[in-house]
Amino acid sequence: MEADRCKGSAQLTDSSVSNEVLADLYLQMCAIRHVDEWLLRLRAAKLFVGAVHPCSGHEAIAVGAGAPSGARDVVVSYYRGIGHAVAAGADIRRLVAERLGLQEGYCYGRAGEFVICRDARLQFTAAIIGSGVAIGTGAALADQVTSTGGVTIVFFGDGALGAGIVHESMNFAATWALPVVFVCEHNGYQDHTRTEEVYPSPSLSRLAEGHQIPADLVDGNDVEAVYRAASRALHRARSGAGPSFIEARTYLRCFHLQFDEPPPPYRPPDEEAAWLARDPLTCARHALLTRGAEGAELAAIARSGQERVDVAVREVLRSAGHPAAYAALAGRPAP
Amino acid sequence: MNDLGALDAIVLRELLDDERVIYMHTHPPREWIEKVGRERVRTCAISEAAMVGMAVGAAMRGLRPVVDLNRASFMLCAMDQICNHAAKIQYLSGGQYTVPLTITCALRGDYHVDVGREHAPYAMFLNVPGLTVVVPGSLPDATVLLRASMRYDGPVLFFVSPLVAAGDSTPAWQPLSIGQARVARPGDDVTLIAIGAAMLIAMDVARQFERDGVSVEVIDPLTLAPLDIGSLRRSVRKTGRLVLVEEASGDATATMGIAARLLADAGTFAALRAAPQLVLGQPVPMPSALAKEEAVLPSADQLRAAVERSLRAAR
Repeated sequence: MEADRCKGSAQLTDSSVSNEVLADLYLQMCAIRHVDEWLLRLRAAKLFVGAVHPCSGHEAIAVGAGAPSGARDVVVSYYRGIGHAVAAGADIRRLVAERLGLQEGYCYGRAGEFVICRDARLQFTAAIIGSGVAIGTGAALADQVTSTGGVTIVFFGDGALGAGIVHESMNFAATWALPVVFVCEHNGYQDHTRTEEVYPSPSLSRLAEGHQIPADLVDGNDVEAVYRAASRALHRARSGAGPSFIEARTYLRCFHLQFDEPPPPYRPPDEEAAWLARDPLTCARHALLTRGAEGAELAAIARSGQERVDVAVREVLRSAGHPAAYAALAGRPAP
Repeated sequence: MNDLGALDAIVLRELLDDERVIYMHTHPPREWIEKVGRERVRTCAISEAAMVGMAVGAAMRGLRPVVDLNRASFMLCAMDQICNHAAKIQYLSGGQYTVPLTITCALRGDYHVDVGREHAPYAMFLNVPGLTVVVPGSLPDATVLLRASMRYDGPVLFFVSPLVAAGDSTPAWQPLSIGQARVARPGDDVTLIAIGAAMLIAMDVARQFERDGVSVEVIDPLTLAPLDIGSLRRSVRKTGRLVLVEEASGDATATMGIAARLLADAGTFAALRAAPQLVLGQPVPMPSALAKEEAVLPSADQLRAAVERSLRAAR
C-alpha cells in the first residue's frame, strides 16, 4: 500500500541523493513538521497573536530545494515560510521566540511570521503575495553585478502567479540571465479558492516557459525529486545560464491559515485523503526503507528531529514566562 | 529624470566613483552604458513595481541602486514595494538589513504631459514611517541632495520638478544634508514656506515685497520626511507670520502637515500674530489644456494676496 502511494520516490531513486543525505533530509522534514504543529498549538493557546500559515505538507519542497544550496546562496520565502527558515539553518529557538514576540527573536519580535534571518541566509519573508519574487530577483541581480557566484532561491505559492510583479520579475530574470531559482509550491489553492478556477490552465510551468525560463514539473512530496531539480537549477544559475522554474506539485496537510482556531473544512474529503496518503514524510520514510534502512533507525531519526524542536520550544516558553505551558500543550493532539 | 543635465551629472559621477551604485531606467543614456558598463547601468522593461522590488533586494545585498521612474505618477505603480517593503525592512529585520535605495522622478514641468501623469504625490509617502522624502526647490539644493540621497543608508524618494532643476552647469557645492531645511532668502516680517516648484513663485513674490519694504523670509524644507521642524519654528517665532505654498492639492497636503506641527508647538503658536495662510493647487486632477492647468496651479497673485492677508491681520 504505502509502496504504491509513494511510487514516485521509489522509481526515481538514483545515486544522486546518498543514503546519508536522504536521512538528513528526512530528519529536517520531521523537525519542520514538528515546529509547524507546535506553532498551531501555541497559537490556539493564544500565546501569540496573528495568523499561522502552516507549511505541513510542503516540507519536502523546503528541504529538497534548500539542501543543495551553499553558503553563498540566499533564500527568499513567503508567509508559509517556517520550513524554509528551518531548512536554511535558522535557530529554531529564535524562530519560535520571534513568533512569540520576544526580544530573543531574530527580529526582536517585530516581524513575527515574516521573519528575516541574515545569518541563516534567509533574506526576506514576504507578507504580500508576489513581492518576495521581485526582492529575490533583485538579490540575484546583486549577485550578478558583484560576481559572488551566489544564487537566490525564491519560494512562493501558486497564487503568486496571479500577481503582475511576478511576471515582471521573471521577465527581468530571463532577459538578464540572473542567478535565481523560482520554486513554486503548487498546492492547488490560493487562500480557499481552487487555482484551476482562476487560471486558464493548471500548468504553471507553461507560464514560466512563456517567459522563456526552463521549467521542471516535479512531485513536491518527493524530497529526492525536489532535491535533484533544485541541484540542476542551482548548477544552471551558477554557471551563468540564468533562472529556472520548479513547479512542485503538493498539498497543504492542514489548511491555509489559523487564528484562534482552525478554519472549517474547505476542500473535498476524498482529495484530502488521497494527498494525505502521499504525505511527504511518509514518502521519504518509504524511500529510506526501500534503500534498506531499518524501521527502528528511522523512528530514531524522526524522534531526533522532534526533540530538537521540543527542546527549543521548552526553552522559549520558559524564558517567556510560561514554564507550565510546555507540559500542558505537549500532549495535545496536533491538527 | 529627463533632460536634467546637472542632476544627471551627479548620478554619473556617483556611478563612476562607487561601484556599488547601479542605475535602473527604461532608457538610460547610451553614454553611461559606455562609460560604466551594462552591468551597472541597466536598461529595464517598463515594469515599475519589479524595478523597485529588485532594487530593494539588491540594496539589501549591498548595492546602492538608483531607480529612475521618470514621472512622479509612476511611483504609484510601485506602491507595495516602496511602502510595504523598502520602508519597513530595516525596522522589521531589527537592523539585519538596510535598504540604501534612491528612487528619482520628475514632478510637473513644462511638458504638460497629460491628465494621468501630472501629479505631485509626495505627500502620500509622508504617512509611511521609514521613507525619506526629498522635494528640492532649486538646482543647487537638488544636486547636493541627490548626492546625499545616493549616499544615504535608507530608501529615499527624490521628487524634482524640471522647472527648478533644469540646467547643465553644476552649481557650487554647499554644505547641506538630508533632513535640513534651507533659508533661501532671509527676512523678518513673514515666513514663507514653499515646496518644490512653488519655490519659484515664492522667491518672486518675496522680491516684489522687498520693493514695498516688506521683508519675507523664504524657507525651502527640502526634506519633507524627516522634516527639519526646528528651522521652521525658529523662523516663525521670529516673524510671527506664516504663509505656506505648494502645487499639490487635497485634504492632507505636506504644507498642511507642516502648519499643524508648527501650530502644535506652544512657543510657535504663541509667537503667531496672524492665522497661517495656505496656498495650494485646486483639488481637481490636472487638466490637459494649458489655460486650465494655469487655473489649477497656485499663482504669484494668489500667493501675494495670502502674504498681504497675513500682514493685515494682527492679534
